[in-house]
Amino acid sequence: MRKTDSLQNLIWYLARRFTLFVGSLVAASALVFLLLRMLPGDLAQAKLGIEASPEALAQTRTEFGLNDSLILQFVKWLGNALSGDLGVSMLTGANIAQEIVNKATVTLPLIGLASVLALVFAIPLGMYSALNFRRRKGIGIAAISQLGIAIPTFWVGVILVTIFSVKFQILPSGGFPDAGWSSWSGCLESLVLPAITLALGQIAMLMRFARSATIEVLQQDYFRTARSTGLTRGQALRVHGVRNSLVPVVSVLGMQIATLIVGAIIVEHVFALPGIGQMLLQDVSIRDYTKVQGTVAATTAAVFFVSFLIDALLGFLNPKSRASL
Amino acid sequence: MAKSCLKHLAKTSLICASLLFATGQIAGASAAEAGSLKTSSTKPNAKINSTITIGFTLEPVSLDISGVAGQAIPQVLLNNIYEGLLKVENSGKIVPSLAESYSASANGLVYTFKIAKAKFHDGANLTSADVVWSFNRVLDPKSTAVLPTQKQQFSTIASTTAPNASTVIITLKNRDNDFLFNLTQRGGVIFKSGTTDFATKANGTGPFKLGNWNRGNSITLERNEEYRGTKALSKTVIFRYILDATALSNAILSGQIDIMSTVQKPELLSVFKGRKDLKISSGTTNGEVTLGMNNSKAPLNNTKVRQAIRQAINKKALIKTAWAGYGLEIGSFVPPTDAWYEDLSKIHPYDVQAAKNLLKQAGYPNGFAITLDIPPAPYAEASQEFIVASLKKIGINVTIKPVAWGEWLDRIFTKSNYDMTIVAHVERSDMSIYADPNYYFRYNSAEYQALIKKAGSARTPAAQAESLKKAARLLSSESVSDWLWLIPNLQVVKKSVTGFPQNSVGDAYSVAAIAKD
Repeated sequence: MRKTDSLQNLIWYLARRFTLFVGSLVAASALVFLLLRMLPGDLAQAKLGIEASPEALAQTRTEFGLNDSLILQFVKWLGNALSGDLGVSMLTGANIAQEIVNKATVTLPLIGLASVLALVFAIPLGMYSALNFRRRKGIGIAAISQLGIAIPTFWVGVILVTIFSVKFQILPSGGFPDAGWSSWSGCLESLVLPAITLALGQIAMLMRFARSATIEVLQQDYFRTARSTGLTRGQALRVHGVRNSLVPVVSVLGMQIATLIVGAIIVEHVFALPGIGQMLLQDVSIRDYTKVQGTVAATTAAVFFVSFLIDALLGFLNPKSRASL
Repeated sequence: MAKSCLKHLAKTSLICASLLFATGQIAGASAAEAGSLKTSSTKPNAKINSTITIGFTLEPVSLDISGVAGQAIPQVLLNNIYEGLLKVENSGKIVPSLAESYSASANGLVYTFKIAKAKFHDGANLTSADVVWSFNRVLDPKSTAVLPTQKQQFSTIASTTAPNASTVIITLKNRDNDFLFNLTQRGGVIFKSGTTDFATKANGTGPFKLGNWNRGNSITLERNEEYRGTKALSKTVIFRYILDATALSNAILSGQIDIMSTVQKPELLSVFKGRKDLKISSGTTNGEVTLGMNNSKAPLNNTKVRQAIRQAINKKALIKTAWAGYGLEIGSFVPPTDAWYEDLSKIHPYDVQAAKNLLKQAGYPNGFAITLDIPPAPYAEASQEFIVASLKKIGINVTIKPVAWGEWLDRIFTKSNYDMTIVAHVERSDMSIYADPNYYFRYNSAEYQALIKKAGSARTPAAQAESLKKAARLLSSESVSDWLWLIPNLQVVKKSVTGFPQNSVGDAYSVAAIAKD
């Protein structure tokens, strides 16, 4: 009986979460759609240039369905988008979904690499800092992490390039191999500095979570019990503490996906990486409405989807969280 | 022609002023050496199989050279992949390209072109039928596949005919001195007859074939080994697109690119000066930074007052302060790449005492107050303080008023409701704007208008140049505006690289002569 209740609870929880996911996605798409339409300038004009005749403009508008009502345009677009078809760019004729997938081969590895770096450095540093809680070393690390949060991403990128590319010329200052991942070592080389740049802010922040989570573990009864069996603090922490302090860190990292994507836009710009962020900036500058719309909607969907997954995961792991919507 | 300013302004307001400048469209940018008008010489021992990588900011949105707007498309394709009947050299000289030779009838209406023995990249031979097809495509009134600007440029064509496979005759409705230049630009490109895909393929006749286009990153050009003339010196040329100015500059500092084809702001050059392996190239553009004065409004309707203002501004010092010393003092409205260019900077030179005397003669011994409208363009913002200080010395109190492009276009450009303003005019061969009494300069001179008209109907290029020279002198002697400097075409190049185009004289960035030691 209680088991069925619990399962039902979980299903209800997931259904509510999913509805919320779809609802916010539609709302966000509508917002993106409207905001882009509200900007001054006209797509037909952007395509044909400033001296286009009124007839040519009218013809282009009809071709692209720009004369339909906003709502009709939105519904048409949303319908296609939900089936994975983001249409073609009005300016370049390129398939938008395909372009996004292409560019994702740069952006996803960048975000992935940055996340791995962030975890690999943040957790040991955070734990070390917690073990030295209220000691000079611990406070020093905490202070550095504060600094890490405060420094803007692009500035870190510029400094790294100045040192490693311009001064010592050991890593490329930007760009990505034309051959893509078939020359994987070149790709990795191109991603080292950008990933470090993107990871630094994350390391600083995750470290603080790891630190406070560890401090909490250190104060738990089970930890004291573990110590009483003769384990040192370090041993006890490795055996009983790591997993417990990891949970909040990983869930925070999951929620950081949006920050990472925004960070990736800046990092790709600074390092001239042909990823989704760079593409988005370029499309904004040439006023490729349909593509900007598709890209923003796709990345928004990705962010919502990841947070939905994490919610679902937390729902499985922690029954308490199911109560709150 | 009166559209020069309108065009860039409208573009600017349509998109965004700063971004546009960053892309170099206002400056008409791409690059070359003040004074020296030659393409930098190519050393004979240059290696012929090297790869050259050139950094640009804006990437083409499509390969459709005649149907999609934007300078980035002809920059990579024109003269490299596609060719026209004629091409313009970096010195501004128009020379044969796909036309081996050409002649014009005495009345200037019938042009006969002898077509070269050329092959398209797909192996087909070029014939006069391709030329006729290409021009008919541009002129087809029903077609929207070609940009309106190009249609406009060739609207003087009455007919294009091919008496045999290697001859094309183009007949004009009326004389058009821009016709030959227009043939060298994007609208004059010759396609293979029957081509349908212009956006993703480029089947040209040029010294390079289109290689891989990695969107968002680069376009690779591969040498056309079957090219009819002198083959390209480098085997592979990569146009790399880097949107961010700092990233672009880092790319050349770290050795990833060989040429940085555009320097957005001259103050960025300081980082390159200490580098032994790099050189800074400063060429000419068509961009005259113009201190516009309202010739219809007192006190600026007085020639002596305008001359006083000109003589009060030390252009050399201004260029040093505002544009890091790059840029050429021109003294009128003509860039050095035009055939009618003369150095007129000695007319009404910097002389504060003379300026004060002129104001006295004009009846303003104690000066007067005036407004200077500053649009959000780097060159205008960089020079405003200098102009205020210079004019203060002769008693003119200048109030600076920053204006957005929208307001500039409406109040100044359209309604001429202003005293002074600063804008760069980037269109080629745009002297006729001063012949329009309603243009925002409000300069109404029958003598000038007659000279422009005479130039327009001149039968030979020499006669045209003669009239335009006189016109430029007239503008300068009457101080219709002040011309602060010619925007330089700044590039940073590895010292080992030769043969790059230094001046910006059209939309092409020709790379066939580039080589690396």
